[in-house]
Amino acid sequence: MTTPDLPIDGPIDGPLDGSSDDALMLEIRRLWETLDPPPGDLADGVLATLAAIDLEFEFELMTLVDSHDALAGARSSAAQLAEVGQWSLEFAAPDFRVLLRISTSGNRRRIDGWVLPRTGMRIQVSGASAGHPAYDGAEVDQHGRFEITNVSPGLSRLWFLPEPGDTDSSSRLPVATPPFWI
Amino acid sequence: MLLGGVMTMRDTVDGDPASVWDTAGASFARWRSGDPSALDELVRVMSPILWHVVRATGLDKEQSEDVVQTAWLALVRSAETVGDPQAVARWLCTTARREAWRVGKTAGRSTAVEDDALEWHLPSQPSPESDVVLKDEQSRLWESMKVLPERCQKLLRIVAMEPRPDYARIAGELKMPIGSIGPTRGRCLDKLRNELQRTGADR
Repeated sequence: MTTPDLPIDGPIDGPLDGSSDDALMLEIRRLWETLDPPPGDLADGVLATLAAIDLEFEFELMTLVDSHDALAGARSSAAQLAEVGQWSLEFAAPDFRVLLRISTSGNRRRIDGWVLPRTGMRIQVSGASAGHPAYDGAEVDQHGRFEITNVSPGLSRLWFLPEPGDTDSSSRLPVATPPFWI
Repeated sequence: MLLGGVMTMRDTVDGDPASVWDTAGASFARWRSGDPSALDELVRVMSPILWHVVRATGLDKEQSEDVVQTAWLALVRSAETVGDPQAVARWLCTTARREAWRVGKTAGRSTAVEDDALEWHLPSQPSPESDVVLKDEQSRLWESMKVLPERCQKLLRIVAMEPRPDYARIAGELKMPIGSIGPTRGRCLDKLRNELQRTGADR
């Protein structure tokens, strides 16, 4: 939506109806936004404060229990990352385990996963230091399997999020793997 | 690509104050369903609004930053009391404004509220050395605002800074009769219009 033109020279001279009240209120708001802008670091300060209390309960960290390289050294350098190959990882959370098989094809990655025991969740990939990204993510199918295709290579982590409709979800924390190379 | 999407969302928010409520509600719902990054979005969208809501009550800048932080801590600690996610923006604004009144009273700044609902502390004005350059229209609006009665300046600022203010609740906080804010606002806007017309004719 575009910002309406300043109504001062327009509707003010016209009928003083409700819409011109709203337009004038919007201009007052814009005036104060110009006169008294918030400190540039306001949101960052809030996030830092919240992060300090959030870290304790934001998510549970999984443990790496096993890893197998089908192609030794495939993850050791950027040049080799482009090679075709596949490797597998196993992570454990308090309530479930997940097996991951990561396949390379050119400069893209594909993740096939298997959750044991089968648990309804959404799964997302994020960069190592970021929170998980804002998209719906993959779902665990009825056999406990999921797939995420077309993943960018790099140091990443996987997030396992309670499904929104899950009645138990309010009591379940998001679970994340430690950062690992994809 | 993700960043690009976020930027687009913010642009939309900036252009349409009312859509802030919907954006905030959607982010809050995602955060409650377990997506930590949604809180980041919510904070970035709502913090500037909370800043203006708090500043409109007359607190200084340092106090205002503290109050904004307090409102966010309250949300994170009692997210389940918000109920409908769509209500989160209003919940935050109300929480911040109440905390601002409380801090202001403690600091002895808003003691007049009890006696005359509209005689509260005048919001601090931008200092003359402020390097803010106003466009012509904004400059004219600002000059016209400054000649309004103090109570009009204060009320208009308070109700203008929240996209969909809950007048009944604000009336309660200001100990004004329910239903009196709308008419008072209308009278103040009329005065502002008259002033704008007068100065416009003078040019």
